[in-house]
Amino acid sequence: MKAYSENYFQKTGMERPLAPRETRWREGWRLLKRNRLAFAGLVIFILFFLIALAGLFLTSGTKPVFDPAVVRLEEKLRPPLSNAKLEILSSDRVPRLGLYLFGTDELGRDVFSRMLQGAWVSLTVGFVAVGIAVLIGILLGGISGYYGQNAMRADQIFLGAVLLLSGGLVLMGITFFGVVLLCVGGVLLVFFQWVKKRASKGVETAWTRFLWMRAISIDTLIMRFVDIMLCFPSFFLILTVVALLPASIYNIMIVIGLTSWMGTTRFVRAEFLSLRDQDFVTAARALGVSNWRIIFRHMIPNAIAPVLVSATISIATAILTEAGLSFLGLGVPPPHATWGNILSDGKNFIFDAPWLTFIPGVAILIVVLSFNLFGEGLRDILNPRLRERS
Amino acid sequence: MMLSIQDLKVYFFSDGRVARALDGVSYEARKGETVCLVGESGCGKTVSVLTILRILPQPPGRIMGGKVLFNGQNLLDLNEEEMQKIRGRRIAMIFQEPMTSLNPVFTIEDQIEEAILVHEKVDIEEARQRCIQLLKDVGIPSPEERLRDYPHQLSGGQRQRVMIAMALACNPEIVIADEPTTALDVTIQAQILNLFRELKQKREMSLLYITHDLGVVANIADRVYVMYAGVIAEQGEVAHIFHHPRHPYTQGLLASLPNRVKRGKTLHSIPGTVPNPAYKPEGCPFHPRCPDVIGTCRVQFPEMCDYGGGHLSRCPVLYER
Amino acid sequence: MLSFIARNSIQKVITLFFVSVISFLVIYLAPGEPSQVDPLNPKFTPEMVERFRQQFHLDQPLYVQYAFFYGDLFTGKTVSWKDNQPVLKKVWERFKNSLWLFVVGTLLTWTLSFPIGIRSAIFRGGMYDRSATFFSYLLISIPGFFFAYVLIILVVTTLHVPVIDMETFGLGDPPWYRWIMDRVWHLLLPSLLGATGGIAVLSRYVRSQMMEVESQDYVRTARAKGVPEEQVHYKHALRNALLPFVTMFGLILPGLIGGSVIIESIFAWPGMGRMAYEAILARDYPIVLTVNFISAVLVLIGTFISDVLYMVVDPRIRL
Repeated sequence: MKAYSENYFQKTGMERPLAPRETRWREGWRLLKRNRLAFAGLVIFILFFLIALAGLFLTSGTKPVFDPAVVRLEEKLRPPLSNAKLEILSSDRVPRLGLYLFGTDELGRDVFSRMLQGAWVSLTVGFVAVGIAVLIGILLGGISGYYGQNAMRADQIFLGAVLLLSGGLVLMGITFFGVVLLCVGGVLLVFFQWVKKRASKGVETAWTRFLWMRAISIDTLIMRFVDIMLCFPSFFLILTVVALLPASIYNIMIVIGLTSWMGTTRFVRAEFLSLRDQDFVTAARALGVSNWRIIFRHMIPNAIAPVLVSATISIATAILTEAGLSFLGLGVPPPHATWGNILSDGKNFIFDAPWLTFIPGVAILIVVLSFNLFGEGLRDILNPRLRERS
Repeated sequence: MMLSIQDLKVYFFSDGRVARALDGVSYEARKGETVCLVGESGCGKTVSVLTILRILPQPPGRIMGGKVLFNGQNLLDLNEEEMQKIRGRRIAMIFQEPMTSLNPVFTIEDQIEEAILVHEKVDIEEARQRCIQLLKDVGIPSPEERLRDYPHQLSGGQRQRVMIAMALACNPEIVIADEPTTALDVTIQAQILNLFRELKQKREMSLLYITHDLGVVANIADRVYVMYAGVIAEQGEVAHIFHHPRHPYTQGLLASLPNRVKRGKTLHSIPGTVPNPAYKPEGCPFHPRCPDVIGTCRVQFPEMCDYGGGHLSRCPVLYER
Repeated sequence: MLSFIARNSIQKVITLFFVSVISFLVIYLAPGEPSQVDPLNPKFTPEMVERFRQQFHLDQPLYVQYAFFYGDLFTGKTVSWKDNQPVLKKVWERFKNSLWLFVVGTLLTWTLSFPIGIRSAIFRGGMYDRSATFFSYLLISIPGFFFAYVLIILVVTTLHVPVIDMETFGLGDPPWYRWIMDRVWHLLLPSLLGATGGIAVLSRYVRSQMMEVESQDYVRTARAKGVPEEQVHYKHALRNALLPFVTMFGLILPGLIGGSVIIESIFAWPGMGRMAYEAILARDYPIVLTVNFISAVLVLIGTFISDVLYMVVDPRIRL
């Protein structure tokens, strides 16, 4: 048998035909372009983003380019693409270009301007609500998946409950009880510290044993909380809270966000649990890498892609939810236009002015569809097992 | 000639690229013979046997040419219905992963009996008796009690025995075993190998055994085919291959086996890796890793060179030396 | 098995307790008051407000109110604030109406999505699969209320059948077959709308499950045995693909209340969703809380059923 010279390795190293190297991003981009539906989704999504952004600038301010609020009762329910009757409108009420691109509604407001204004609402509601949900989801899911096995001690749970309750009471406006409880919490904190200090000197009683009883693991605690939240019928819960709170777009975003984080939490937890046992994490731990570094450098980058996919699809759901709320009259308060309330107002004129129903309806459909298609496409790209077979 | 594959070409089309998994492979198995197909993972061994049974997923795979002759009949010409009558009844197959190759929601009995019942008109009681006999044959203790078990209740070795029983259910003329011991512990591996040898003696059947383990080959084979990157690199009787390897790849493989003579020395290894089937090198597919490479290797696909006695090797360079 | 059931039930009861506390707090601590006790409401004199507050224990601390409320609920004494009717009776009336929608909708969902999904998976990448995929995305993405109006326009203008409400207003006393046809027409559209989202989602899920299972080694084994293709799909693959759906079967129970608010409003269907919606707007807390509680109970029963069912079907899970 011949020996392989050093020279040989160098030679083969240069000669060896390799598959062209691709970064993950570049490969993903190539696959995305091949998936026509997903690519169309992405294009529409970017277009929608630009339109919504433009809509924000063009319809706000004291003298907007497209004014969604001008009422022209003499020009009500004009069909799309009709010209404004310049002779009966005062000059400051003439629509831009003298044309009603999408027609007018029952108050003679320009539907095109209103749609522009509504686009921004849909976009922000979708992104902010899902942003809140994803943040909560990653935080709780991450804690549950990474630190889940650690048990909470009875004193910690007790202290947490007292502080949470007092905080809640103060926020709810029951200040007196809240402050009293807060003080009690503070005293308890000091007391527990004192007990701990004393116990470290070797004094252990039944009392301290009870306090340090390993009551329940963090994982169980968080997952039970998820179970509890899942018991509420989500749309009904959102409806209830939105109806009780003062009408505002921020309340809607927050409420949708606060009621839709459970899926992400479960997801991140499962992802973290499986990553925890992977060899590269064990290796990192063996090298003495700190917990935070492991979480942020090793685990989140691996867990984030599927979370982003589900977030994309959640944005679609959030946009639909907001539209549904607006449709029921519980959404963003008028006169601010959203696609849901344009449709809701328009439905009374569905036979006389079908565009008032169809334009916002189709717009919501297209945007939500684009998010769904893009999200599903991403999922296929990120899942190599599915990709091979499609 | 029982089974003969001639110039088989199977390509995979995915992501707009073509992967030439099989690039003109020919091999054959005679009646009552044990033939081993050896090669590193990804060289096309499994693809070739899946093609024999026509259970290769298509797409992405596509058969681009060649013949699969079984007793003189080209299996690639048969329609699906005729093919079903051959699968399991005349050609049976055993897979690599006993853990996942048995259906988790059916009992052992269901799965073995199904193999009998799809091919033969027998009543359920007879099928059960045969099932018990098969389990006995493959060395499963107290088979009557095992019948009602689900796969997850058995150990890996036992599951592989069940797979073998299932393959033998209709007394096939040839059994194809695709790395049947790779996923098992070493001691279990030896048991399963012994079982194969025992069964071969009792039954008149051919065995096409796929492995990447040369130790197994030495143990069981009559003849050997060495595959590399979708082509047969060398073929011949087991003694020829082991004692007079005529292809640099076979030589490299044998050199990397530990043995008594080499004790205390560094084991040899073949540099580089098997080429990606979508980016195969020009000329001889082995040339980037070959110590005997010369200029023509890089441009010209090598021909088979006959050493006599059924020993052929695809390396003209060594042949001319 | 028994210990599993016992443990599970205890856990569910604890969960239910927390759900009841949270929903109670959310409603009672939200700003604003029900109109009956709102001092700004001109319809009520201060004396009436005071009497009302006493009658419904609104002057007591929260935990006492909580105890009173759920005590009343379990003894069936809760009454609506709006009309003083017993809540359980009202809910039951509405529940019967919703049940129709629910049953028809669920039947439609489950009978349509499986054939669609399985066919898509078997002929993946083909014309059928691709159009089914696109249509299911379309149905997932279309806002339900918009789709409802599109369908109403279509049906009303082409078939000239009335579809709003449970039966045609002023129908009088028609022969029985006319009556049944009338009911069917009124039922079909809202239940179809209720089912569209479900059909789209479920058929996608069936497809992906089926594809996952079809790529498993045991399906290849079955093929290698010479099992006919049909049997490979419908016996070996489908049996495995069905396992996760058994759990989903328990999860359809909560759908009884969940997503029907909008559709019931559009079709003026006197069901639970619409009642709950009206109760929310009127701040009729007993009804809101009762509906919430019932739906939480349904969710818990549903998950319980699916846990138990899963153990029954999957031979790998035995306790």
